[in-house]
Amino acid sequence: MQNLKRTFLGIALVTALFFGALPAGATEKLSKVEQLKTEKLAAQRGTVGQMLAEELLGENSGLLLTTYEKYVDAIAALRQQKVRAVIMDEGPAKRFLANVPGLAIMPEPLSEESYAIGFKKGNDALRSRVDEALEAMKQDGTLQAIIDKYNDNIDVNPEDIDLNVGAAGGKLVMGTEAGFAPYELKVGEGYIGIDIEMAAAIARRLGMELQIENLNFDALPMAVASGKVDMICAGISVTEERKKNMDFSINYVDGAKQVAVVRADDLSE
Amino acid sequence: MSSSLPQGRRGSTDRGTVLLVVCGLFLIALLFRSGFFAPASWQGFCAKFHQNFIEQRRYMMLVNGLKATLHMTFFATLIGLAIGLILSIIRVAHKGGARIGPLAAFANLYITVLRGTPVMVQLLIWNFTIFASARDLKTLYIAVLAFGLNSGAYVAEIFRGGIEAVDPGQMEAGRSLGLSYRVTMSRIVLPQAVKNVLPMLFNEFIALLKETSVAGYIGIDDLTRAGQNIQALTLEHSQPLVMVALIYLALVLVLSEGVRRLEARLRRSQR
Amino acid sequence: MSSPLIEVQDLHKSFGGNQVLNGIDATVEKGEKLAIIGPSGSGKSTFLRCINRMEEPTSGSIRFMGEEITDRACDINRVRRHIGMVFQHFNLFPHLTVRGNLTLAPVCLRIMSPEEADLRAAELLERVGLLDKIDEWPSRLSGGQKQRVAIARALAMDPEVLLFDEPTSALDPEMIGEVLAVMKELAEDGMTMLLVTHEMGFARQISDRVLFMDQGLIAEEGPPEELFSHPRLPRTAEFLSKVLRTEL
Repeated sequence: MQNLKRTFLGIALVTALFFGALPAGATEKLSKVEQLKTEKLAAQRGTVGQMLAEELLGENSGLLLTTYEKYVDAIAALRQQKVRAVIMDEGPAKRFLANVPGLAIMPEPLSEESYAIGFKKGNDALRSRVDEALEAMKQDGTLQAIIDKYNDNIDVNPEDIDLNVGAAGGKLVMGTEAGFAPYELKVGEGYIGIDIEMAAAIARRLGMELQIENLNFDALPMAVASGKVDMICAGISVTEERKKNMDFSINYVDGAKQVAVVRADDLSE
Repeated sequence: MSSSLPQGRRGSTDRGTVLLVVCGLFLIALLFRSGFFAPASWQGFCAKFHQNFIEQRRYMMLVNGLKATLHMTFFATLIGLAIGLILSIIRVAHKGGARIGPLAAFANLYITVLRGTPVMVQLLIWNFTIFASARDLKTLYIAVLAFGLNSGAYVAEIFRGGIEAVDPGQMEAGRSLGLSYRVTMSRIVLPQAVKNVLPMLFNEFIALLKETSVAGYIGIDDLTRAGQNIQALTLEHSQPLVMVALIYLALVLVLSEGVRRLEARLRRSQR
Repeated sequence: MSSPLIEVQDLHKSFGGNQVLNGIDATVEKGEKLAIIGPSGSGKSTFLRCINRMEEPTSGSIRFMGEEITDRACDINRVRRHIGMVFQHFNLFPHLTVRGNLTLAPVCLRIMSPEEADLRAAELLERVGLLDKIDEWPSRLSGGQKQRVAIARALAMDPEVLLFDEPTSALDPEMIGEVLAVMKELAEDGMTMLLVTHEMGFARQISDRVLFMDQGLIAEEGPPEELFSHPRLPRTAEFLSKVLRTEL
């Protein structure tokens, strides 16, 4: 008798899970970013996307904005109609569009950002050396070559990236969140991406060995502030807010757009 | 004894079957809901599966993640056992009248603080505050330490309960023979206490196994993180996660079965 | 030679504010069998347990073989080797076999080698009639058998004196006889024994002297024949009439 009761309880629970939380149908199709002001949005925690979504939603952001640890989770929420749009960088957004069916990018970008390397506030010694290396790489085309290499391509073997292991100058520890193709991605036991190759090139110029710490994005400011990592290369946009807690190198990418990813059938022609 | 055995067996099988059926239904429902079978066709499913786990030997990411998870669990377990044992003895001895006030106060504080804060927060503090400058220390060791110290607080309470559950007459009998407190504790009380709490200890370590899933936060590619890494590679949401869940579940089921057998054996030897 | 085996002077014991012993004076000579009787709550067990400092006396003096054992400098563990104790609830070690129960202390304390201890265990078990149970687990023994093993365990240390704390109170009536028989045999072999008991018949039979305790004091003492037949104090008489009536 007891068992029977338990079985029914189990089945009831399963059924509830099965049919519960079915998404409700959407109303008017999206055409302008303006429309998102009163919609449920998603972003990756700690990103500029979150910041922009908060700006857009204003005082409703507490109610309407959901932040996720990983982009994949945010996109899954979008596809399950839990949110109407995900605010994110254009680079990874394009990669999602190419790989996940039924997605679209709203034509109007939310903003344009520049990416730079982040340092602990006041760590000018390292920052100036990195700036110097970065500047030189811009001049001689190394940087552009790296960026071009990853144009619509992430088919790179991590073992081909020279991390300058055993260099005399000690270790240069970079913090990143390796779920941000084409900038950083974990492949097998190694890492690939623009930030990885750029940091490796910088390390080689400084005569140091590059060590990569793959942390969660929202843990990165803490990691660099505590000295756990020397610098953050994670496609981070330079913002006034972040400048308060972190120093930045010169920009290595300009015009990185922040866009709203939506469901294709939810976007009006 | 033989007459009572079949009864007990049958009872437990019934309950086991019901539980299994409910779990199975639940799991299947969950798999459907979560989109593990999202590509409607079998071929679609296989293609996704191939992309997520086979291509470029991505299953190795899971294997390595599993290794890290087991590694952390195993060594944290050892640390937890050692610390738990020491702390529990300190507390019990203090209660028994030993003059170790400061030590006992420390043990109390330790247990209160480590049980009173989330293990995730402790992990972050160990990594980003206490060991912030120890950059040559492998993060894995920091995680082992954090999980081990945390587990120690829980194990201490388990051991304490076990020791206090041993009849005080046992201590008296040992002492009356001229054995010292230490010898009586180690040879008479502790063996009985440990036997009493073995199942609870195992459950604690099963819980620990699951708790290590937050280690990704400080950059350890454990099983959970390995799933997330595959997600980032293939941009596939459900399959890697569900696979990770299934691996955890399999581990826990195997360990739980071990505990069940252990319990049965202990019960038999107690008769 | 003249000093007694145990000499207790003005022993006080209180638990919190509760005075249990109010100044006990007693001596026990070697080979003497002493029965301690009295109503429950009179402090019999506490008195017995003070003798090997299972309870810490609040004040007073206890001398064992001339040594003051309430002294802080006294190594109580060494003294306890010579004072065996048998408990109401046996307190056998359930995680050890009968053999393990008997050999643990002598081997741990390096009094005997494991082989010697094994031989001695067999010898003692034969004496209590349980040689066939040597490899049995305590949980498989009857209450009477457990208590006989507990007696053998206490004897394994070759004590000068055995303290019995209501050794038959937790036993089913049909098992009391076998335990008393073992104790009687011990008494006949000349073992010094202190016995807290409700078995008046047995106390009368084996003891040389009976102490009647009431309200934390030894109210009356004397040879069993005298005390049981002609108690001096009315309360002794009252107590005896009560227990003897229930015994019938």
